[in-house]
Amino acid sequence: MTSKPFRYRKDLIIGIVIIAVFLLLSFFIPGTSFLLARILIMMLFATGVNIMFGYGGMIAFGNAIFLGFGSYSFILLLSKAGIPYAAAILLTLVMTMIFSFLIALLVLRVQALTLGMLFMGLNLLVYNLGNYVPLLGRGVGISYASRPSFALDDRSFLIFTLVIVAVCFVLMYKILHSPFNQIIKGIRENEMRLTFVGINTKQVKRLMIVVSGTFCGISGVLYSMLNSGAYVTYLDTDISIQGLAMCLLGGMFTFWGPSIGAAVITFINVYIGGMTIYHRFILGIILILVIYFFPGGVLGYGNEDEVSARKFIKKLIPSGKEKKDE
Amino acid sequence: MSEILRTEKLTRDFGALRAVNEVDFGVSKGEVRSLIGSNGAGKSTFLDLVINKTRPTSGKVYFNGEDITGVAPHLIVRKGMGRCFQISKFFPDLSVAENIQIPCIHKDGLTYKMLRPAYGQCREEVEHLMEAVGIADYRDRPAGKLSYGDQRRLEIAITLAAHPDLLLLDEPTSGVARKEGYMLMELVVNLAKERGLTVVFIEHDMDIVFNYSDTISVLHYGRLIATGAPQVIKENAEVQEAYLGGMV
Repeated sequence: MTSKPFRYRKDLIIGIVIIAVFLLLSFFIPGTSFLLARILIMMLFATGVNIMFGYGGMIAFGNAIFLGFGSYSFILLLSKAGIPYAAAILLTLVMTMIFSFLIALLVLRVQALTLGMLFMGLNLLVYNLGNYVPLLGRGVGISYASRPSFALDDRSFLIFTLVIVAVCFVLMYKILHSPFNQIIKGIRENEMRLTFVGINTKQVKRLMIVVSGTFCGISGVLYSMLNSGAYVTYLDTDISIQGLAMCLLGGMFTFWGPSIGAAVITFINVYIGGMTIYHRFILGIILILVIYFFPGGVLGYGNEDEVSARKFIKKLIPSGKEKKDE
Repeated sequence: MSEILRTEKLTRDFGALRAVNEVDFGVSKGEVRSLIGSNGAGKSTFLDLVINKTRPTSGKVYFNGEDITGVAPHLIVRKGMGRCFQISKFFPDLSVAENIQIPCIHKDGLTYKMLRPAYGQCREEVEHLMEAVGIADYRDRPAGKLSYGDQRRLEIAITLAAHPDLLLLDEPTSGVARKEGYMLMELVVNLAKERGLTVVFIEHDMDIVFNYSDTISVLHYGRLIATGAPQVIKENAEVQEAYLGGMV
């Protein structure tokens, strides 16, 4: 039938199970709330990135700029401008939307791999601004206790994060099962065909970047609350690459895939990273194995998503022969 | 009958090569017009110029009396022009139904709707189009897995879903068996009559051209050398020399 049906019951159960697991872990394993909150925030970030990457087919090498922008804006509005808490959150959202729109205007001048490179160039630029601009803390960042007054300890902050992330996931779920998402998938599959059914693809892509950037920005706000401040590492290209890696690992053509990737990668970064400095080695090996043996990711393994993922990777980095055929 | 499409001295240069040379071309509403010529005559380029996929070097394009020269392709499509390509263009990993649903979503003004479900949107129109072109049995199959002939049918359905008044078809029967080519053309002509469409199609199969065209235009090295009814074109000496030779 036309587009895939809303399997909302199944997805609702998955969502409830995730919430239950996070709460149970937090209550029965002391000291895990901080890690669990970080995993949740990264799940939101990765799913936000996947709107652009997996659904829209756009290599967003620089998605950390949205996360960084969200966290820096929120902290600056609170610490320097002295704006009330709720107003700072709302204003950050609006500013992130505008910022995402401006980024969209810049990057959509080119396509495919060059767009990814342009995105990365912007990421490097913003990262260096974070390193040298006094207002942004000159590489040190801005420390500011920014958790809400009712969620100061890790467990209550985890519950707060669960609520915000759950709301964002409901919204993203709706967006990713909407007519707009059908058009986004059309862009990934064949942008020219969309043009010739009368669709202004640039406008759709702009909106897609704004939507994706906004969710990444919200994850940035939560991240700055979790860590009590905005730090330049949030703007690092490493975060951008990890965002894509999360999507690839979990399954970029699935709704829950990026969340699985986010959980695995954050766990490796935090838990294994606490035991050995070679945790990136493990992460690297996992990614290489994923790309070679199951490009559809954990959730796409063995089904049609895997075929689509192979085609997608091939399309992003075409061989000389394919280019000639075009 | 009034003209739906008119070009005036439409020209396109690629470096030193003049692919389309000052073509004055007009099509009346409801007409089925074929465009013939040898390989490299500029037929596909001409269609690309009409819909501004390729920008003309000079000249004008009028659609329903309105100057559309240089207008963005998606805006031209919104004005009522549809284009099928020589190599089928569709959304290979999406199902057949989803392929047709996309233009329907756009036509119904739902492109930017984010909070309503896509499932079931435009269902009737999608079903109707799948039935009309004969691919309803494959509604859930990924479009990339259809046979070549069915991919051509799908592309026609995608184009029709945008509700065009003028259909530009670039070799609709290329790559399919002769019998299926006839079936495809029959389908296009019947749909055109049913929906009151004007059709301009490029074709190399002369039997199809002479069977299905109301009027034929002949391009030769970028120049329009003749336009007329099939019998007139058959008997045109210049066309005989330039293109048809012993083919008819």
